[in-house]
Amino acid sequence: MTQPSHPITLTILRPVSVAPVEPDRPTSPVVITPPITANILLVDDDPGSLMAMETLLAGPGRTIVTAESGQDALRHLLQQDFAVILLDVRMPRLGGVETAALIRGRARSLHTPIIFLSAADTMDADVFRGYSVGAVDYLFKPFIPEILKAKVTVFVDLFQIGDRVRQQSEQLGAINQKLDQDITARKRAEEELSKQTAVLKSVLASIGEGVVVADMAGKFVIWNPAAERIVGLVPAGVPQEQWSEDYSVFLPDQVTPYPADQIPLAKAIRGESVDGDVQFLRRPGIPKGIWLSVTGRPLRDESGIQRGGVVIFSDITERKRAEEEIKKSNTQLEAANKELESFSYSVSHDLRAPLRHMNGFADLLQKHAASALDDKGHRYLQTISESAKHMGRLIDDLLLFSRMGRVELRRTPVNLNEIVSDVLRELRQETEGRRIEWKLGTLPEVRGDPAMLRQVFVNLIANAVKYTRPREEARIEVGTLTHLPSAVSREDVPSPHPAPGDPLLRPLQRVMGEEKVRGDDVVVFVRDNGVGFDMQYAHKLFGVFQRLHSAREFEGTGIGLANVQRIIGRHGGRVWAEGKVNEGAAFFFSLPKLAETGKTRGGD
Amino acid sequence: MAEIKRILLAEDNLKDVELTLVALDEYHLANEVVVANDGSEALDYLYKRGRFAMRPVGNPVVVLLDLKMPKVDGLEVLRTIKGDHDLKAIPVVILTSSREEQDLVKSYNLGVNAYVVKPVEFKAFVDAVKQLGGFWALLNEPPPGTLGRTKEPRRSAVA
Repeated sequence: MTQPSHPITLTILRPVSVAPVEPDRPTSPVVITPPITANILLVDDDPGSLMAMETLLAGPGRTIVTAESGQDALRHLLQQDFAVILLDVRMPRLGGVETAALIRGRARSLHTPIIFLSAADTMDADVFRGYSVGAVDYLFKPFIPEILKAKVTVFVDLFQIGDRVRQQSEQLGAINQKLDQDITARKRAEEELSKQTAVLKSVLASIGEGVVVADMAGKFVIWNPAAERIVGLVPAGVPQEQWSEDYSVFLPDQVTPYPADQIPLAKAIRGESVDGDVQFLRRPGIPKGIWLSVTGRPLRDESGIQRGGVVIFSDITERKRAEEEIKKSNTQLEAANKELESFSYSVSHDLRAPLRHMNGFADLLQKHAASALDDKGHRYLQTISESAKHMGRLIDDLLLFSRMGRVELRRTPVNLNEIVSDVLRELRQETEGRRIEWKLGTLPEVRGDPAMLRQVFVNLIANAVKYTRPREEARIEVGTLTHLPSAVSREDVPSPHPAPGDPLLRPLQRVMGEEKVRGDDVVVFVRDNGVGFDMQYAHKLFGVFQRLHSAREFEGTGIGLANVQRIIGRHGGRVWAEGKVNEGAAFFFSLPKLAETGKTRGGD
Repeated sequence: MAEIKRILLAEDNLKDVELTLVALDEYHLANEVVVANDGSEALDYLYKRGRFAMRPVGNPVVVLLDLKMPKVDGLEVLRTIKGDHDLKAIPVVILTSSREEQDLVKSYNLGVNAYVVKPVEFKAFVDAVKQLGGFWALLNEPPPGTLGRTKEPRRSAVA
């Protein structure tokens, strides 16, 4: 064996049921919006100055708002925000510095840049005061327009850049939050995955079937312990084309190497399904070989994309062996059956001929030499004839017995009453000149083979007729224990009515106690007031060639009741008897009821 | 006198042949019987071959056929007769020890005209053969092309 022995590593593919976290799911992109309009507030008590500044500073992306007093400016500030405020320092009532202080006092405009406008003769102390309340710059009148424009532009740009930064940071915040959520989801998925993986691992480890999973490249991903136990090998990294050879797989003929491209796992990887493929594995390690039943399926993830293939297989060697065994014994049985058939054919044909000759020539001799024979001679010839006849009957009965065991049961609904009257007609010859009181109860319809059931009644009723021969008046009763005949004499024939302690019910109860008769079985009996029998020998009644009377008392072959038992047995019923010497005998048999026969007891 | 036989008895067992002849003699039919000791002889007779090459032309009034015979068995003979345009009109009676169903079924499927099981008891056997001979050789009107009678007219034979 050349298998490299890798340690088993149980790598679990991501289970199909767990959704992977998509890292590059499209999130809201960073949107660059055009710069927002920058509001510029001009505050000056001199309308001329205001107009001049407004003209100078107006431009695209800018809205100029003018105010002629501090109060006016504060009102505007309540309504909107400004990129920059140009504030005249010297104004009546509310001066520029005071206005600035108020502006700074509001949170909303705490950082709004303020440029003071003042006369050139402004004292340094005033300038300092201005800066202290939040001025960012000073411009001294008269302005140099370029300087005014440049300074305002700086603040407008600053405002617009600031706004963009704020927007971007808002977007960034949103992205961050999203990322946080994603990370949590991924973590949860991973936890779920590892939990499921653990479950999956223990399932794979505990099942009896071998499970092998390979990815699209044919690399083994799962090779569970059962797979190792069954195959007797650990996975090796051989390419798919060598699997058949490497694992010594053969077709069911046990000699043809399994076609490499037909290996179920290879097929599964190609996207095909395989069901219950039977293959044979044999190599030096398992010289007797093992049988596998393999099922293969392509493996797909939740989006339907194939990721590999899986095979599940079980060792069916035992089953295969049992099947072989059954096949073998079936063949043997068939041969035995055939042999038996040809045997009984020979018996039927060849054994009868000599008997016919014995009988025939004894008869001819009797005619031919009638005058030459004395009484003894006649008696000897008589004995020869009778013996031959008896032998003939034995053969016929045995053949019948054998046939009753062999032929197929042909089940149809059977009217037992018709059979009984038919049998009585057939037995007329034997009953002629006899005084027989018949009590025939109504029998139920059953399902069975009419010819065979007829044979049962022939045997039982002929027996009753035969064994009542010594009776001056014979009583023979045919009935059923489920439909009880109403008036039955209790003198010689005890009533079948279920009276407590009735000895005739004992056998029935006994049999029922053994669950051989089910509650809803039909029980039929044939009862007579004949010579009866000793219960001590009851067990011998149904054996082949078993007789409780000598042929001198009552002729017979000892096969009739064996036949009854065989036929009833094949119908799924039971036979039993009850008797008393010189008082009579009763024979019972049970049959499954019409409705369920054939359903519950299928075969023969 | 030219030997003209009307009943073909195909039977390999000489004792059975003797008993059958005894039975047929009750109707004085014994002389009308030609015995073939196996199936191949029976076919020789029917096709006028071998030791029967010189026999007069014409078919037997009935063939009494045993089933189990050496060389060619009764069913084979039956199949040949019923499959031959010139022979198939000949009445064939299987006279056998076998009452196996398969034999009955096969015989009837091949077109046998009657199937009689030889009774073990001699009296019953004699009765059976007598009735057979009486019916097929005397009562039944044979198909055209059958050998004529050699002996007394029908009435005296029955008497």
